[in-house]
Formats: sequence, structure tokens, C-alpha cells
Amino acid sequence: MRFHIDDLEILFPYPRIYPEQYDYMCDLKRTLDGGGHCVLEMPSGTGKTVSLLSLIIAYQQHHPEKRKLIYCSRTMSEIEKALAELKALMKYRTDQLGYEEEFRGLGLTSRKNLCLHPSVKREKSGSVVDSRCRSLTAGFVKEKKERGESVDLCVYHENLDLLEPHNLIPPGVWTLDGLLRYGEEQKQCPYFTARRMMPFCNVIIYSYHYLLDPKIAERVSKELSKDCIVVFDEAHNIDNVCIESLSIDMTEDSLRKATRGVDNLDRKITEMKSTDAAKLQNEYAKLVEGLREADEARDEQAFMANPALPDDLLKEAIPGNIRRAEHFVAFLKRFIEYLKTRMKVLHVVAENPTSFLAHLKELTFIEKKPLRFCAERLTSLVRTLELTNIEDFQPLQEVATFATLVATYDKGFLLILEPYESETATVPNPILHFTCLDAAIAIKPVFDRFSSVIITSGTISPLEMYPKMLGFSTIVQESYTMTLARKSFLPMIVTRGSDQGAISSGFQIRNDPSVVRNYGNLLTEFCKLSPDGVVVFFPSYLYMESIISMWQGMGILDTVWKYKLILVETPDSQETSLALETFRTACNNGRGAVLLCVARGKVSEGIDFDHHYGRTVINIGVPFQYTESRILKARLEFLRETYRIRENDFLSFDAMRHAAQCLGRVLRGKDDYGIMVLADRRFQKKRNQLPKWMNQYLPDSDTNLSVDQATAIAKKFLREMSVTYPAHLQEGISTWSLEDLKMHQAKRDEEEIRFLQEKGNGVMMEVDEFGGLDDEDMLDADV
Amino acid sequence: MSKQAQNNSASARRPPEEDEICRVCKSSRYLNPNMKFLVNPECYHEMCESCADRIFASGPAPCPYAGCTKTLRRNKFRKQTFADLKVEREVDIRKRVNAIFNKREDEFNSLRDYNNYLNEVEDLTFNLINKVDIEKTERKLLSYAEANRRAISQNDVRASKESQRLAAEERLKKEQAIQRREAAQRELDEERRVRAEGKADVIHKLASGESATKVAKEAKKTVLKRTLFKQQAEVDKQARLEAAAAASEATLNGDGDDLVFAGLKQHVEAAPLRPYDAYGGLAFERKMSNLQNSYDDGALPRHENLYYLKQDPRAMAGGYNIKEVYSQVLCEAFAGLGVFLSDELGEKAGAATRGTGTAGAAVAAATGSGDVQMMDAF
Repeated sequence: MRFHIDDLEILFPYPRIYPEQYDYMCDLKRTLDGGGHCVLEMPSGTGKTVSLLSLIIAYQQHHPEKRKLIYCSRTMSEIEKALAELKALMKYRTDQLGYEEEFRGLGLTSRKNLCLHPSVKREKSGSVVDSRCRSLTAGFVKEKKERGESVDLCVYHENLDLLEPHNLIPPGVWTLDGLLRYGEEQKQCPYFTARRMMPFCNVIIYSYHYLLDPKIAERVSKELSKDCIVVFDEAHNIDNVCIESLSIDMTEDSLRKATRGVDNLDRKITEMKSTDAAKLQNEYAKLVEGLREADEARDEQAFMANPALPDDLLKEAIPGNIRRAEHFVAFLKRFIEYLKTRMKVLHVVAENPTSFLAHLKELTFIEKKPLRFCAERLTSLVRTLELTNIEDFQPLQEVATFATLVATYDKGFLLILEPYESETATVPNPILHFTCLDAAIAIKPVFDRFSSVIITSGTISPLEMYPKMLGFSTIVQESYTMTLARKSFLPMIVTRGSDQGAISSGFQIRNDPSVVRNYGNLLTEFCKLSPDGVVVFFPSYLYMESIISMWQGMGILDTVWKYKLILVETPDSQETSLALETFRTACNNGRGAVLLCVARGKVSEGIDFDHHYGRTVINIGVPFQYTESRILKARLEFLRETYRIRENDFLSFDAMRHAAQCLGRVLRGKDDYGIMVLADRRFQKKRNQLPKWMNQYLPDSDTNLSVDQATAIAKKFLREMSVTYPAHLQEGISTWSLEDLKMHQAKRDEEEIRFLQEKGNGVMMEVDEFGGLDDEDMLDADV
Repeated sequence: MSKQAQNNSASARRPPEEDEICRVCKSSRYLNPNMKFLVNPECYHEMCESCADRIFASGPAPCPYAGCTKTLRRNKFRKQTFADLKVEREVDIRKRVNAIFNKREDEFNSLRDYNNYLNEVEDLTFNLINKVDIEKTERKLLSYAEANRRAISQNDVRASKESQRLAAEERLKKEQAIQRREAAQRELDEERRVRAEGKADVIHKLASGESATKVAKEAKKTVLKRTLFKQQAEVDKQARLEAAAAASEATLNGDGDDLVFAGLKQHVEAAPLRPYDAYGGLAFERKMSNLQNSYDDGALPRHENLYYLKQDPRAMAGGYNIKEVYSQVLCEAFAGLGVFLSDELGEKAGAATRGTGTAGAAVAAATGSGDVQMMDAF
């Protein structure tokens, strides 16, 4: 359908639109017009992606500057979904407008997914693919070939050079599959096609990391212009992504490998000195001059990019004491040796970068400044040595990254050395965590650089937490309710068992037999009454294991077994995917199954249980983080000190966003229905932290139920849902046709006019009053 | 240094590793779990503590390692810091070199000079480490140390002061963090206590037979009061924290053994005198046009002055320059072209909003005057 928002014509590829989609688009437009950032929460399964795309594309095509859209999502499947939506939208636009717009939309993912080279693409690990690709495509390999040496090149990559650099692929929307197919037909590399075409695209769809991780962003997203519209979809976890992108963990093993890497470098340098000393001398001369190679920035094959954020880079020449290759290698050796010495400590150490650097200087005479240039110097050296098998140098690269980060930032980071894996372990297995505590650091350049950043998700409550944590200000911040013609999902908070004993996963009572029995009872009841799939979320693997074994002892699993097939998620991803597959088969042809999984596991993020795959979701216990973790403790402290977010507030917020994420798994559209059970006493006080759309359909009467009450309500609900509900009954309420939309717009305009009129009248009255007084004043003056 | 001590004590407690055998007496960690290894910075050959005690008990003795001709003393033996003995030796050499070459970046004219200096020092260090040209390098080192003794000691003092200051700062920060954490904890406890008390109070009141609605109303009121109080407390706390931070900054500046006065005026060199400029930097440049030496007068519209000047040589006699006229004509022609309508409009809009603002103020003033009139009536 085609309609207008203000003066912008929007082509929406479906004949009906949801009211919240319309509101969402209006707010998006307001953000784009105003030029600022926004946080929007839209219920899951209400077509967030399509409304986002159709508004932004319309906006883009309407305005002459054609602002580019960068759409970031979290997983591959979401990227593919978005590309498919975009393709459908563009097809609709072409049909409606009667001509094809000059438009390119591309998705970017790792080389592993986009490789066509017959032997490279068979590699299992992503880093091996990267490294082998580099050895076939790097600039110096080509130079060697031109010099007549016999080296292997990638045909697919070579063919790209024969094409016009701004027209590697015809206009249109290319899904990842489509890109692969086109690449195979034309014998050109899909990965580099996408990378090189990025400046010429209207829409780019890729993963968060390409924008947030400075190591990748520097290489991939550097050339994007300031007026791009950046969208982070499924952004409820964005703070964790930011933090992870700047954190590094090191073990004794990785340090050992790094030492091996340094030794290799040393050997290579000696070799090169005897064969091609001029090259090293050349590099040295360049570093003396403080020249950064001009083509360096454009070098898409570089070994690694500087891990520090662009604003914090020191733009000056490499310090004199690491200019020579051999000096630098000795420097690295000393640094790694120092780290190894630190690893020998058998008690927990937490220190900030400043004290780390002071101690480092005291012991090894390594200054802060050369440390800061470590990553850059290593990149330059690797380029000079023309190394191809870079996967051997991965640990060394990590050490260099760590060196640069630790010397660049003194605030918002912490070093934590944990000598033992767990409290009870006796054999040391030290891990040095270099953790970023401040999510705002990694995302700051994005907010500074782009004028409109849109952060959106199905569950991103409470909204004000995100601007606070990520350090930005919004111009629009909105949470939408879900309009439903009939209540198609049933949120409930179960606080007591049938015996009126409180149920909770709180630490003191979580292993009480009565609590476990009550939870078991809840599971049995809901397995009895719900058709098809049931999904149960536990706060942690540990708790899940203990409760399952207790259920086994109590005979609860045997009862459940009569009604449903029982499947369990494990930390192993292959086992889990097998369990999921079986779960789906069981739901498709049987009485269904129950999947026991973990609220922070793979299943809770990104796997949908739409329709009959998930009719009931049960959250057993509040999914708090493991609060004894030192990293978490440090982060909580930092949040309190810096952003004045209290420990408990943050923990509760974090638990509730995961709970909401779990609940959202079962409702993937307006024709879907499902029961959502929150089974813990503590949920009662936290209900305000649930997304608005869930809270709206959770009446006060349903917030303090016992298991038998909940069962009765659920039965009633399912009976209602079993009545077929023709689509036309939803018309005008939860779905709008064009007429409904026009009516709504007219009504809104009318209201606005009335409002303005009233305001106008007010002003008039004021003016009158004012005038009157004026007259009186004049009279006074006359008198 | 305490950290280093910790490291060593910790390494002593580590579980035994297989390959730890004293190369002198062949006893291993397995037989002697408390074995400690020592090295002597003369030759960096490691041996166990008991060997060192045994061999060097009666004064200096040659190193027991075959082929090593160094004579060692017991008191020079120490525990190694790094697992790699090469690095251990390198660090010892660096310690010596760094004590001599301790120039700072601000002593050099440019970054490049500093970098060259660093490079030079690194070369010397490398020679010492790899035993290349040792004699020559040693000579250089000694002569430099001799020549720059004063500068070296000065920089040494500076560096040690700096590190002291850094340590003090670090200590202070840590203390403050602990204080803040304790304060937050206290606050939380207090809040919990108050809430529990409030709840108990409500229950007590209900039990003693007060009407439920009244109790509920009161409870609501106390909650409101508490939140207001909390907000105020938050503001106060923020102010207090800032004050404390400022105070700590002050103590930090005044702390230490030597007197350092904060806020001393820096000695500023007077800027060199510049030639006198009558216009005070005002430039007369044409933005819109370029003045040519002559114009094709036929193409120009007939300008009265121009025409007259061209015709009559007498007009030029008084030193009148025709370029002045050109300039005037151009100025007239381009006048107003540098003014942009959008800017003007923007200004006008600004003026309009300001207008509403003033209108609001006027209304407020008017209501005020109404009051005054009321007063007048009395």
C-alpha cells in the first residue's frame, strides 16, 4: 500500500499495516528530520524490520542527498532475513512506481561465508580462511607474480581487477546467496565485491562488529560518510558487544604461542637480512621519516588494524627504540616474558592500566609510548616481511592489541588476573583478563560520527538505561504497545506453588526440595495442558543440571515424559542444534516436546519458537548474572561510580532484559498465541521493568498466582484461543487497510488542528487580556 | 618491588614441574620440593640454593659450569625474575643503560631528535646485549656518563619524584574508591532498614486497629517524602563528592617531603615586537571583484566622472588617479552582493522567537502590574 507521512510517500509492501508500525515510522521520520539519535522498542513479531526499511528507503529516495543506510544486526540469519525483506520491498517499489530505481543493497559477512575458492572455502575455521585468502590475494603476492615468481593467486579475486571499480556488480538487492551465485557465474570474488562496492551502495547490511569493533571497523567502515543512517537492530545486548570488542583474555598457552610467533619473526628477519636487506632498510627509513604509507589505509589485506579507537590514535612517528625490526622483536619478547612472569602469581590481582604500566616500567624498562605503537609497528613489520601464514601469528597479534590498548586507555579498563579457574581448583590455570568496563567507549565514535543512530529491539526496556550506559542523548525515545483485537498472549507471574509455598531461584532456597517440587509441579501441569511445544528457561546451566537431577529423583520427569518428549540444551552448540531439530520434529508430528534451556544460552537469543513450536514459555527463576564473577563486580563498581547506576538496579535490569528476551521467543506475530509464565516470587516487584507491550497485557490480578490458579487461567485462555479467529475481525483494530490508515491520519490531523486552535485561542485570549491591561495602563497614565 | 617479592614467593609455592633439575648437583624438584634456583648476574648460570651455599661458602670461587671461567661470589646470587635467562640478562643491562641515558622528550627540540636519540640508545643497548663491540660501547657509555653527570642526576631526581607522586595519587584514589564503596553500602543498608521499619510500622498500626485507608495514605505519604529526601540527598552527595575531590587534589599538590606550591606563575617570555600596524590588523581586500588596470570604457555604462576624467587631461593634473574611480564604481556595483537572504531570514526568525519570549515576559509583567493595581486600591 502507498500512503503519505507528512509529505513523504511511503510504499509499504503489504496490503495491511499494524497501527504500531505506523507510529514507529512516524517516530523514525521525526528522528531523521531532526537529525539525532533514538531508542525505539517495538514488540517482537510486529514487522519491525520491514517498517524500518520501507520508511528509510522512502526517505532516502525522496531526498536528493540519498543518505546511505547502514543496517547492523546480530546474527547471520537476521542479516539474511533483512536482505530478503529489502529485496521484496524493492520489488514492490519497482512494481508500484513502474520503473526501477538506481539502487544497490548489499550484505557483508565474513570471508568464510563468502568464499568461492575451491580449496579455501573448505576450511572449517574462519581465521584459517582469512589467512589463506590473504596469502592468495595480498598485494605483494601479486607483485611477486608480476616479477615472474611462481605463486598461487585467487582467480576470483584477480577477475575483479578487470572490472570497473565502481561497477563490480549490477544495481539491485543482493542477498548473500545471490551474491555467491553471481560470483560463481561471473567468476568474481563475492567478498571483495561487497567490500569494494560499499561506498557505492544505498543500503549495507552487516553485523555489529563491522562498526563497533575498532579492529574491523577501521578497515571496513572507514570510508562511510557522516550523513549515513545507522540502525542497530536487536540492540538489547549492544552494551555487551561494545565491551567485548575491547576486551582481551590471555592464557599461558596463548603467551607460549606468542613467544613462538616472536621467534618466527626473529628468524624471518634474519633471513631477510641475508637475502633482501634493502627492504628492511627501506621500512626503517620510512619510519624515521614518520611516513605512514599512503596506501596503508586502503590496504584491505592488512594483518591487523589498530585496536584503539580513531580518536585516541597517536598520529606521530614510531618511537625510535622500536624502529629497527630487531629492536622491536626484542621489545616484544621482553613484554611477553613480563606477562608470563605476572601469570605466575597465585592470588587474584586487579589493577588499573596505570599501575600495570608503572610496574612494567620498573621491571622491564618498557615505556608507555612504544607500547602504544605496538600494533601499528607489528602490522608494518608483517607487511615488510611479506608473511602469508598469518594464523600462526594470531596470539602475537592479540598481545600487540593488548599492549596498544593498555597503553592508550587509563580509564574504563581493568586488568584482572585469575590464577584458578574456580574457587575450588588446586591446579593453577591463570587467565589475564583485560576488560573494558565502559560500553560507551567503543560506541562513542559511532555516535560522534553519524548524525542519526537508531537503536531498536523487541525488548529494550527500560529505555532510559541505554542512553545512560552508552553515553548519548536521544531526541526520540519510545516504546510501543501492541494492538491486539483479542488478547493472544498470556503473561503470568507465578509466585507460589500449589501448597502456597513461595517459589524462587534465590540462592538460599533454590535447592529446597519443596521449591524444586513446586517447580516440577508447574512444569508437569503446563506440559499437560499446552499443545505442542513448551520451552523452559533456567538461570544457569549449573542450576538446570541440579534441578533436573532432583526432578529425576522425585519422579517428576517420568510424569512429564508421559505428555512430552524432553530435550535439553547443552553448552555444546552441535548437541543443541540436534536437540532443536528433534524438538521441531516432535512438535510437527506428535504431542510435542519440552525444551529445557538456559536464559543466556544460544536458544534464548535468536531462535524463534513461532506458532506450534512454542505455545508455552516458562522462566524458572530470575536469570541474574553470576554475581561472583570478578569482571561483573568490577563493572558494577564502575557503573556506580561513573554513571550512578546502582548495582542492584543494573543486575535487575540485566536479568529482566534476558527474561523478556526469553518470553519474546514464543510470540512471533499477531496470528501467533502463547502463554508466558514467570515463575519466581521476585518477578512481582520487577514487573515494571518488563517491556511496555508485555506489561500492558499483564493485569494486576495475574501477578501473584499459585500454580493451580495459573493452570486454571491458562486452560481458559487456551480454550479461547482454540476458537478460530477470522482475519476480518482484526481489521481496523490491530491491522489497518489503507482506508483505516487514512481515517486515522484524518483524525489525527483534526486533533492537531483542534489542539492548535485551542492553543491559538489561548494566545488570542492572552493577547486580549494583555491589550485590555494596556488600555487600562494608558488610562492610568492619562489620569 | 613488593609485587616482585610476591611473584617470587608465589613461584616457590607452585606445583613442581618436571624439568626442574639443578644442573650442578642433579637434585630435582621431585626429591627436594623446597628447592630454590639462584642465578649470578656475572654469567647467569642457574643452580640450586644449596649448591650456591656449598660452593661459595668460603669466599669467591669459579663457576661450576663447564667452560665458564667467571669467578662468582655468594652475595651476588639472587632469584631470577624472568623464566627466560636471556631476558633476565637483557633487563640487567637495560637497568644500567637506562640509569645513564635518562633524557626526556621535553629536552629535545623535536620529536624526531628524541626518536633518533632513542634509536641511538637502543643500538648501544643492543651491542651490549649481543656482545658486539663491547669495549667500544663501554667506552662510549662511560664517557657519556662522565660528561653528563649533572644532567643525569637531575633527571634521576625528577623521575623519582614523579614516580612518588604517581604512587601517592594511586593510593589516594584507592582510598577514595573504598570510601565511596562503603558509603554506597551504608546507604543501601540504611534504605533497607528504613523500608523494613516502615513495613513493620504499617503492620503494627493495622494490628492496633487503625483504619486501613488511613494507614495506606500515610504509608504513601512517607514513601513520597522518602523519595524526595533521597533526591535531595543525592544532590548533596554529588556536591560533597566534588568538594572532596577538589580537596584531595589540593592535598595531593601539597603532599610529599618537598615543598611544591600550586598555582605559581609561569615565567612567560615577552613576545618579540612587531612592526606597527595603523589599522590594527584590518585588511582591505576585495572579496567580490578584481581591480584591473584599465577597462574597456565603451562597454561600461557612461559614468559621469569617468567620462569627464577621460576627456579632460586637466582633471588628472592634480594627481587624481583613474583607478580610484574604477574602484568606486566597482564598489557601487557589487554592494550588497555578499549579503545572503537565508542568513537574514534566520536572524529574523531568531528575532521572532525572541519576540515571543519577550511577549511571555510582558504577560508575566502584566499580571504583576495587576497585583500592583490591587495594592493601589487599598
